[in-house]
Amino acid sequence: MLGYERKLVDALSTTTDPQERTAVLEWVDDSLRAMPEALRAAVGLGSVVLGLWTSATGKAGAPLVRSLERSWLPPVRLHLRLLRSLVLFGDLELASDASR
Amino acid sequence: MTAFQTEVLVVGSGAGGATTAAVLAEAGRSVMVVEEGPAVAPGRAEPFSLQELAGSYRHHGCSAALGSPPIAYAEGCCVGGSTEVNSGLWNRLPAPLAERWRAQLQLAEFTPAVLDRYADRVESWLGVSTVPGSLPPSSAVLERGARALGWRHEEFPRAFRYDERGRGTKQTMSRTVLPRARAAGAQVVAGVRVQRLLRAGRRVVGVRAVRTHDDGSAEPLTIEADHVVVCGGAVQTPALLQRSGLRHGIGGGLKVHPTIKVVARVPEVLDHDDVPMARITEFAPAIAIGGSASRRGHIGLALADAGADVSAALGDWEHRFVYYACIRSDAGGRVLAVPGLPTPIVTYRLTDADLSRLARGLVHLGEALFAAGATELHASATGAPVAHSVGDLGGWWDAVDRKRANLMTVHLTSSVRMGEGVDGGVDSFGVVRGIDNLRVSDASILPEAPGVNPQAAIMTLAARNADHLLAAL
Repeated sequence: MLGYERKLVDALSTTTDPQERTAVLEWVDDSLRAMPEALRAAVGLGSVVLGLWTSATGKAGAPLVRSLERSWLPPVRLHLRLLRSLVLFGDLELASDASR
Repeated sequence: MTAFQTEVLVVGSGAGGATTAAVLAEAGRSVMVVEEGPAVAPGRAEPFSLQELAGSYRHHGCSAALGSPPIAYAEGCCVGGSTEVNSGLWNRLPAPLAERWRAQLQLAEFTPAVLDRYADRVESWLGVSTVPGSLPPSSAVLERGARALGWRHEEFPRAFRYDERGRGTKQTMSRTVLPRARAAGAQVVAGVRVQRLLRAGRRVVGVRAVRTHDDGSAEPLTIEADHVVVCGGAVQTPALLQRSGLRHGIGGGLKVHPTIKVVARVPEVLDHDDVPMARITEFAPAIAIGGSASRRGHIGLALADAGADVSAALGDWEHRFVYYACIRSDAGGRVLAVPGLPTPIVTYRLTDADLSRLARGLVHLGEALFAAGATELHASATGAPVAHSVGDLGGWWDAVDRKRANLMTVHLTSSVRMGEGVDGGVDSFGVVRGIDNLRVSDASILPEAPGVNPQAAIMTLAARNADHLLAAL
């Protein structure tokens, strides 16, 4: 998982429990590794570009997510959607497991 | 390098591969089945859970057909294939569709009587039934909506067996057909990825593969075989054939059932451990309306796709459920094996008519859900208005466009179509053109997406094709 991806997962995860946050991070990392190579390369390229942009703007956390959501570039929103889906599914399903 | 020999090698252990292996092994032939994924004990993970995604799906269920819009898709990758992770919905090939295929493609032995005979046979192996007693609440929502509108609807039969207390067990390949094959002498080996077919002139002589052991170590294999039947599904099968230098009629013509979802909020608490068994058939075969896996995570995902405030909406998630409209698509796609990449690239180009059909399906789904008493609907199109009444559904027509529609599918077919014309990749019985002892028997050979869950069609054709192979042995 690239540094920017880790940062974005951290911003997107709503779980407060440190162990659950680690589990979500591992789930997203595993899922990115399992992705078809061409898709992973495209996501990775997007992460590098967005990582550079984030470094330049200094955005992080919720403001970063908001600016990605409002981007006029469809690939930026698509990139966010993918990572958000992985984080959300991990957050919700791991929380369901923990509550049992 | 380890070497094996067998009379018939079956690549893939899903609906097509398991059926092929059982028919051939029970006829006394020497059969080896190789499966790329692991052997997962039935019932080890809850259906549709994160554990199941990680253990039994290819790519953790995270694949997409590239296009505008992209279409997310999922495939099983374990012993038993997608039958281990699907909903077990069972629909014989619609007779009018089969007749059209027979006439247009000059398919041999494709009459209703022949297809019914094989369908009867595989159904007797599985057990196909409907839910004993009344339908669960999530199914009743669809039934109630259709009834209120005077629309046709029905209960899905499923590959399920129910005990005396009404508890159902899905009849996956690992529970049913693979044990039959093993009992008749077939060998089933998990963790084997076939890299390419080995050819000598107009024949295949075996495969080159890699076996991954439980400890992660990898072992190169060659498996010599008199006959090879490829049953890897509509993505993996054409990719293997292309990697082996076979390209004519291979990989083009991919079909899917593009699907768009709605999260509905209803007054009653719903069941969330299974998919709904009811479907609305009023607009079939162009549009099918049904229900989807709706664990908390799925509802959250669908709400996020709709651009909703997920945390707020999940506060009453027990009242929410994911329903869908899926279409038969005019469009086509392609599977392309790229040298150096283990995973092929999949593309799908929706037509404007497809998008229009999806929008129509979405609005009809909304009408049915409101007629059933829903109070709030979120469509999986970014920016689509939240609907609180039928009057709000008009805003959905414009929301289903290439930039905003969030689509998915679980049915991929037709990438190595059968037929007696020059375009088909295989003949009426799945024999690959120009290679007499190489066959395909899976969703790839269906000439079109059938508009319904394809498992029954795949198993029916696999049993028929295996009988044809037996006659040649």
